[in-house]
Amino acid sequence: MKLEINDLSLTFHGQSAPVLSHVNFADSFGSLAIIGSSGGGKSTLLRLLGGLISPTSGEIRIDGDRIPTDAASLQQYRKKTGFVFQNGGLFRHMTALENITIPLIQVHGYSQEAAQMRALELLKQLGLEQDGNKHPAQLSGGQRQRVAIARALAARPSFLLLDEPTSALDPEYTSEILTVLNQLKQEGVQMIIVTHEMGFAWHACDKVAFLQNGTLLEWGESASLFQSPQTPQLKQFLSKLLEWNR
Amino acid sequence: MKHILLIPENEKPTLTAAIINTLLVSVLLIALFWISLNQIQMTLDFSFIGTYRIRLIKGFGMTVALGLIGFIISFFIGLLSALGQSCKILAVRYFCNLYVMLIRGTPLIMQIYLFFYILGTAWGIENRFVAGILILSLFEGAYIAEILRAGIQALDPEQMEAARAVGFTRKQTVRFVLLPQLIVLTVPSLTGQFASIIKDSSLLSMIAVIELTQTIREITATNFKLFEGYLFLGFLYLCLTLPITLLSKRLERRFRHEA
Ligand SMILES: Nc1ncnc2c1ncn2[C@@H]1O[C@H](COP(=O)(O)OP(=O)(O)OP(=O)(O)O)[C@@H](O)[C@H]1O
Ligand SMILES: [Mg+2]
Repeated sequence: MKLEINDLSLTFHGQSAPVLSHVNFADSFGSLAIIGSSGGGKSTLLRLLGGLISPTSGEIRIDGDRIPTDAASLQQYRKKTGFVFQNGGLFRHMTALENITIPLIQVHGYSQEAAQMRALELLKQLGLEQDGNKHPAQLSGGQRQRVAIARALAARPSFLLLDEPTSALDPEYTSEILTVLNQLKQEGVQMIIVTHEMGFAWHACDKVAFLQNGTLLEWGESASLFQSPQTPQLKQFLSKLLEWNR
Repeated sequence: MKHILLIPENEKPTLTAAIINTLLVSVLLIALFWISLNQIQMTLDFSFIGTYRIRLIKGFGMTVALGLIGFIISFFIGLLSALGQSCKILAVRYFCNLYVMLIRGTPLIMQIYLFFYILGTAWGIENRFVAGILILSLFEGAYIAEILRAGIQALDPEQMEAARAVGFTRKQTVRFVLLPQLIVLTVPSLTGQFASIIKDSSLLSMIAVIELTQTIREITATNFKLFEGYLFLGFLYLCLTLPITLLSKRLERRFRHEA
């Protein structure tokens, strides 16, 4: 996919300091990792990419098409993306199965049977055949995230947007989810992922972008970005991470 | 013995312990009653139930009607004022806040006398049943407003954002996410409030609405069987409120993993 971000800025209502300021980006990739320290604006950028909020100024183009700003076209745009939230964002009052089928039926016009088949196929693919009738509260953190990924994939979106899908998980579940994502990537699913898992960003993502204090300081091929960071900020960020990983 | 009388921390009582202790409490209660009765040398006589059964059934029906109609009207009053409390028009918001504060801060019996006087003299509503229902609904509406407001506040904004992310329109978000979650959050308390309405309706006997309490008051005024009369009255109210309370508890348990 081709992503262009032109002079994108966002200031939240009633605040003076911008959360994102003059972000520019232009590149093509199958998978992009967004990294950076906490509060840097990564989630905000991802919500802009998902059409969940609109920028104060600037624009985003995906494969040449500008993300719209009016409510009706935004809703159409969101239908073509798959969003995975940090804690899953699964609807608590629905079972895992309903979380997948109800949007398929109501938003994408599937019949009940077709939606059921698609949902069961995905749950099976993600190793959740047994868990379709459970509510999110009855699932483990790793299972929840797999259901969230299944829901995001269900309507065959053009790409996935994932906001720290593993940060609420312990190491075992983390590697479980990362394996799933890597498999999806091999199958050709395109994704943009905000992550603290540098190993995953390095080895499983084509490109990496580094966001610090609302500014996109650096982006490029993941290997070269990690091996020869250009900005002092990224050098410092990476060396801090390495401190405990030697 | 210790295992039967005491519950270890964070454990459920065993079935035997539950039965034995329920029996124990019942025996104590009955003994206390029996001793009190003996003190005043009274023998219980419930024969009035047969004599006055038509009036009792009518009164019972009236209490059920007051509860049901009152619940429906007060739900809408509560819904409007809960929404009004977050309205953009400041005057509406203040009005709703004031309504909830004043009603919840004063006793029902004062509201009954005051509003009955106002309704009757200024608005010409002489029908005691209509006036009674209006007053009761106005009172309970303030409590329902608080239940709904708390429910709306407990809604998780992340769930609403997830609804937009899967592509729901505004209407679909309300229908498939907001309302179901609001129901899960509020239905157990609303059921409990229904039981309160049934009990509170007894105060309408003060303006001579012939519901259950008023019926018993009238009957005991002629036959002087006060003790039996009010004992039976309590039994009839429990027949209505206990099932509702149990239902409320059940709903709470059922919704636990959905909220
Ligand atoms: N809805 C909002 N209203 C006001 N400010 C917000 C809102 N959402 C985020 N912010 C602010 O914007 C800044 C960036 O937040 P964001 O969540 O995008 O950071 P992040 O890079 O995802 O951080 P983390 O790694 O901790 O998730 C923070 O200072 C945050 O307080
Ligand atoms: Mg974040």
